Amino acid sequence: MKIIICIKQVLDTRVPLVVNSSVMQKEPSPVYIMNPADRVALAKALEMKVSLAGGEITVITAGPARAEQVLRMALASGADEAIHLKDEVFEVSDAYTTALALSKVVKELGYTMILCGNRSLDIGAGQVPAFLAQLLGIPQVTGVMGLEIMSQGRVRLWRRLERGRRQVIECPLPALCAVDSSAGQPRYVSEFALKQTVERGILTLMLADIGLTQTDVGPQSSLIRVVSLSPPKPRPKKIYIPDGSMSASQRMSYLLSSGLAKGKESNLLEGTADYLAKQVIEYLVKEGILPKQLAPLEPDG
Amino acid sequence: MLPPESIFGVTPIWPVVYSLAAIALGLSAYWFYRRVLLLLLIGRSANRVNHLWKRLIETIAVVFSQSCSLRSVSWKDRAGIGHFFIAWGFIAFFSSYLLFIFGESAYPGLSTLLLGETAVGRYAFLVNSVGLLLLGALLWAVVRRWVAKPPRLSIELTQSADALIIVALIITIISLAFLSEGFYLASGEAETARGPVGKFLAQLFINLGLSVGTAATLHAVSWWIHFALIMGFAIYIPFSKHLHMVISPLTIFFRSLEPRGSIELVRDLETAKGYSSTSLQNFTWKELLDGYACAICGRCTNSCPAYLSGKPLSPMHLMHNMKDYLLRVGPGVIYGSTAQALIGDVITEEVIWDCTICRACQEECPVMVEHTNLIIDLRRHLVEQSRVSPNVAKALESMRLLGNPWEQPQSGRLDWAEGRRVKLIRDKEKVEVLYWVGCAGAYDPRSRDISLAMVRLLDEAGINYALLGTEERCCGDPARRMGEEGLFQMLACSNIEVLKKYSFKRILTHCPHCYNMLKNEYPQLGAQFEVVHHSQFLLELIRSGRIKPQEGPELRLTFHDPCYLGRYNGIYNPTRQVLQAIPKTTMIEMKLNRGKAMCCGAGGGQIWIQSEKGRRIEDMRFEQVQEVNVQVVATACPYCTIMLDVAAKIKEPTGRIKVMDIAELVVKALGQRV
Repeated sequence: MKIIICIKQVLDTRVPLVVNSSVMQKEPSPVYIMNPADRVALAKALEMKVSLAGGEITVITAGPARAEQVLRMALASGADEAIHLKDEVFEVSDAYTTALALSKVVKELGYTMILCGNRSLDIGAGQVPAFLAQLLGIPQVTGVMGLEIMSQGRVRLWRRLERGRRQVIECPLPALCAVDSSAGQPRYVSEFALKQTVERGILTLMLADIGLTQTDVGPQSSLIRVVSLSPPKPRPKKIYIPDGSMSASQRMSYLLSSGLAKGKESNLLEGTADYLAKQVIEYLVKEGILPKQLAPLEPDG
Repeated sequence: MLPPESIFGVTPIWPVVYSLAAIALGLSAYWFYRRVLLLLLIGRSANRVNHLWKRLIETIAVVFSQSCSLRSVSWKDRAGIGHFFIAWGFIAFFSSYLLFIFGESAYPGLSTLLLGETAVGRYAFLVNSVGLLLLGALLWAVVRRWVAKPPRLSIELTQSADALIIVALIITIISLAFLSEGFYLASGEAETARGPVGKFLAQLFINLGLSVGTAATLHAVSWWIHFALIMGFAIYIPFSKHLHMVISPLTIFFRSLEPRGSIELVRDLETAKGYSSTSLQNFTWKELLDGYACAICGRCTNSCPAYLSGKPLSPMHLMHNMKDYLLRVGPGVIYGSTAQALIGDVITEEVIWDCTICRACQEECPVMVEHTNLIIDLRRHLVEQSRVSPNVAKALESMRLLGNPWEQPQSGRLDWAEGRRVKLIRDKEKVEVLYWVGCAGAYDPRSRDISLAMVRLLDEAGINYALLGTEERCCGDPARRMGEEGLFQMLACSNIEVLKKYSFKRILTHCPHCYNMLKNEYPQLGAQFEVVHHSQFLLELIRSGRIKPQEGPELRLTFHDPCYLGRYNGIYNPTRQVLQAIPKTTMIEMKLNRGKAMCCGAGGGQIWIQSEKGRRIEDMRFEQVQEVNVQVVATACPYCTIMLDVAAKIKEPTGRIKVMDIAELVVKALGQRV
């Protein structure tokens, strides 16, 4: 079982970005991280490796020199090998050209499964996985929440639908799965673990190694062009409006505490024992804890 | 308690006494080796063997003065006094056994020869009286533990069969010693009576019509049972918690001589690698030793905020489980078999993350067990194995990437001072005071008020100060106490590098966590700074008259002691003196104050860990504030301010009780608005 994970280094959005008309300007001290969805994909792969008691995990990134940092992080998490497709031009590549470059490397490597993050934190077009699957001619499944390897070279996948619904599908391997960022917890990497990766080698490939040139992956070959970027509109300020069913004193304390002293107003029932019992049963039936057909409780005699 | 001179008048007794003692002590030593020494050797090394003389002298002082158990005596818990008598009873009886049993049996009349007639008389009198006190203290202990049951002795484990066996054995031994002495004296030696108890019993037996012959037989019988029980006790000790008698002098001897609560530095990557698997070899022998010293007195658990708020952690059970695990799994480790996992099977992850590292347990522990060090070490294992909750991961990653645990950009570190003229140290040649704002003071909306108050006061007093601004990063305290040693070292080294660039006399900080780090833990990385907490600094300013608090309205207030200021650094008075320097304030202490103050629930990274079980610790602390009739609860730590403020908003939504930092109160007393 050979799993390849395509990862991307993105800007940490907790640090304010200066947005100009067409480029995301980096502020004086930009902070780069591994794309969260990619981290979850890696965590999923590591889980799979444990449950299958075997397999090899290779991480690949296409990016400038600084992208080595995310490969080190992936190695520290437990990836077996790391490949850095290094060129500064990837800073301005679009989804198609990035996928093209990745596909060349992946083809050489051979694989049973490819995992990607569903969307990146910065641009979030979610197109690289799709282009990559197309270029490789393999099935692609997006929004993957869970995956399980079946026998006969098939994989069963749980897809995220809206409102917590799940779609379960199967497809033959090799396949590409775009893992949703909420599919799991990314693995924490300690500082010591990071330091230990210094001894480990990262395979660095240049464009020439895969038979491409800067023109092939640069803006000239891009299918799309970014016209402009705009900064976010200011957020409306949150104001606290108490629930109408609250008592006057509860509303007072709610407002005075800026919404902190919420209490359990909606769960508090007052009344006779009969009324309370009925309400409790109604609630349990509504939540599906008790069956609906339950005979109403009648007091004996 | 003189031994019979011979067995059935035929054999001299000393060969029997000595051979039985040799067998018993041999067995005892063998089991001590098997159950303790051998297992301790599994642990890795710990740097606890420096300053041997200092350690020795202090240990002797502590053991003989019993200061450790007397220290925790309060009006509500007087058991320490009982322990004093039990311990001294033990010492007295032990020495008398050496003389009277082993000495006299081999050479009758040895005691008189050594000490002289009068001294032996006095000595016997002393042992007799101490024995009575010992018996009294033991009976008191029985009543406390099995009848009165105060809170700390109602915790699970405290009323074990082990505890009963030990107390019953000692009571029987002492009673038999007295009886045997009584029979001896009644058998015709009454005129030589020296101890009051023996004399009384002898008189009683004679009055009851006991014949001389019977008394002599009973003397021999009771003496031999007595001797057998002592030997039995010696064999039982390695199997019981009474081992604390032997081990606690060792834990006191090998205690940390570093500043209170400071943690062992992981120096090399090789040691760090050890944390990636939780096996006994990765704990220091000192951590393994601590469990043996525990006598299950319940003091730690009864003072633990996590336990009191209904969380699964109990420091006493933690130590007990660690020892239990060592005893069960240790032999397997030595002989190469695998065993159950420590974390998960024996100690749950939840327990490890519940701790606020407030040190209340260690403050209470009479045998100087180091609970918090063990917890941090266990956390290191979890961190290196990526077994951290999303909350913890978020805080730690924020510290690594952004330089603070609040997920705020480094560029926003001066946002709190917007619109104010603050001086940065990079623009200045030399300053008197470097004001270390800390992450809470820079980012948290509530704590920013404290920083603003401090800047006001510094300006008011005309201090030549400056800030680090965006060059300051998290001091590393939350990282280190959440077990991320590598991250702590990274942050600390980067801070040290920055600090060493500039010229200043001392560092001022209003955060006890930063204070503790800069003052006590950065020296481990080779950086010594003079650090002052704002309570000390404000007191200086007030005393030198550079700040003059004005008379305002009357104010009734109480003070909540931050753990890292009080228990960690012993700063209890400056904070109170600052508050008392404000005219017309009345200080009312809470029930739990100073060393016994309850944690606010934020320390040790708990503000980010956020254990879910049980009650919220800050709510409980705030209820203690509500018990005293005050308008303000003052504190001197941004974490405490945040936690208590949240509790206040829920518990006192009308704002009857305000939570304020001492700096804010001083600013208010200057008649200024922050």
